[in-house]
Amino acid sequence: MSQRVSRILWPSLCLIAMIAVLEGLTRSEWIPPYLFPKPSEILGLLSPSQPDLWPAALETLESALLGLSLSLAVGGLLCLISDQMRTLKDLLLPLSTFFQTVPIIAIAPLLVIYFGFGQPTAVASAFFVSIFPIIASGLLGLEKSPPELLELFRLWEASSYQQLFHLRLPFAYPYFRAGLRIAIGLAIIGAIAGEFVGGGGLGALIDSARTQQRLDLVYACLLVMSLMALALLMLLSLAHRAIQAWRPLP
Amino acid sequence: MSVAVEAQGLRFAFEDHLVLENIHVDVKAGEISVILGSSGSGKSTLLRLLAGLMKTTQGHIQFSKARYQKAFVFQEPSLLPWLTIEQNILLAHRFSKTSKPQDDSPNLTPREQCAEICEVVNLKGHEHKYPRELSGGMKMRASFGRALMAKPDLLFLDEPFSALDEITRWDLQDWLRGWQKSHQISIFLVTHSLSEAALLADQIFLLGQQGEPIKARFRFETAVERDSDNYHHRLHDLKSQILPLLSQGRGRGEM
Repeated sequence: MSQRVSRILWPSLCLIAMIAVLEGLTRSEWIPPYLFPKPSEILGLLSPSQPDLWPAALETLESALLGLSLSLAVGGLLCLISDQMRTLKDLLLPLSTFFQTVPIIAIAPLLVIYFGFGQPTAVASAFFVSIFPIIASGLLGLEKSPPELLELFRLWEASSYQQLFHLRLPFAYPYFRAGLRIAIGLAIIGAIAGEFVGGGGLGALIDSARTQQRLDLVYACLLVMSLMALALLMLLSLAHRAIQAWRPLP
Repeated sequence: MSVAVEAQGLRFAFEDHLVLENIHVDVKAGEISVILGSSGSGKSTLLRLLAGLMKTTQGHIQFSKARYQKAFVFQEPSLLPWLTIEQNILLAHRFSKTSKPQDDSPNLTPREQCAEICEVVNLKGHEHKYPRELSGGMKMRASFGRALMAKPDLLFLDEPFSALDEITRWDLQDWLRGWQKSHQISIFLVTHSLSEAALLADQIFLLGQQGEPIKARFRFETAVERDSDNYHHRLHDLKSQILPLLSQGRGRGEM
């Protein structure tokens, strides 16, 4: 069996086994329905005809992607500027470490004051949590070019622009990709946290389903959230393969 | 032959740590000068000072010409993995602001010059491969090819053979010697291999421990062939003179 097949097969079999066990336990009422709904009921809610779930999921996805795109643009620009300005870099690195430790759920109520109810708060929240890993990994990656190649570019008297675009940015790529993987997950968490306080999307749906004791809908929302993150990570992985097929970056 | 490079009273300290002190080096055009010494003696630092990649704390380096074209080959091939061998070799032409006029090959485009170089370094047919598709020896040849593309007057080599297997090392050393003799460029070679120094050097600068002046200097007027009696005699002489010098001031001479 090839490594790739076994990497997909075993987790899938484990997941199916877990669902089957949970189904058995809930059907026989070993686990009461008010603690955990039947997995078949949760999966039933994923049908495309569901009136609430999919529009809410799309709204969350939109907020997460908008926040992530803003993070990429602003974070990338800040990395490039601070690479040329030592003082800004010295300021950004500890700040990004500090803000990564602040839980978004504590900041989200403040965001609703500044951005109001609705999607802007979710976007701001997704942006706020996803920008710091992008800055931290970008700044770290830009320092990771092999010293002998930097010396060679200096020997050739290559401009700092040539050094940046032909040497340091390609060598920063694996660090940036690792930062982006973290940022994708965080952007979805951020969007949901923003929706908890600002309304709309899966965040608001989870909140209302919880108050109505609709645990099946809460779990369906969580499942969609995870699938959303997985799909985005798969897209990133596909993009990486396409880049590697074009040019074998580090 | 005229003196190509002359360095006097070189001193280099990193923060409070003295690395090189009172170093004098003079090199004639078209010679291979070997910088020999034990680990941590400052060989690579001296090479980088001579190449202008680091600034001396004290002393000065004089070149007989106003502008020299320099090239550097490192211990590792240091190729850009996302570029083909041809693109890697062309980098020297693409980025070097100090490129010399192509007086010896006026009608050749950079790509044609690159094809010639690939032939010289035995990489013909591999131009469009990526570094990951080549062996260690071939990657090192590409690294030499990139240096040649700069058409250097001064070539700086920082232990370029040390990571290679013996057969590839011999092959590349013989190639370098033949190429240097036909082009008469000046080469600085850092090594801690006595056999490499005995085979390639026109002169040897022996560095002592960190912060000491040059311990000894050896000059050879004739070249020797690998495995000839002259080579073995030279290697034996060098061992008997250098090892006691390196052992002074510490337990044992470690090359």
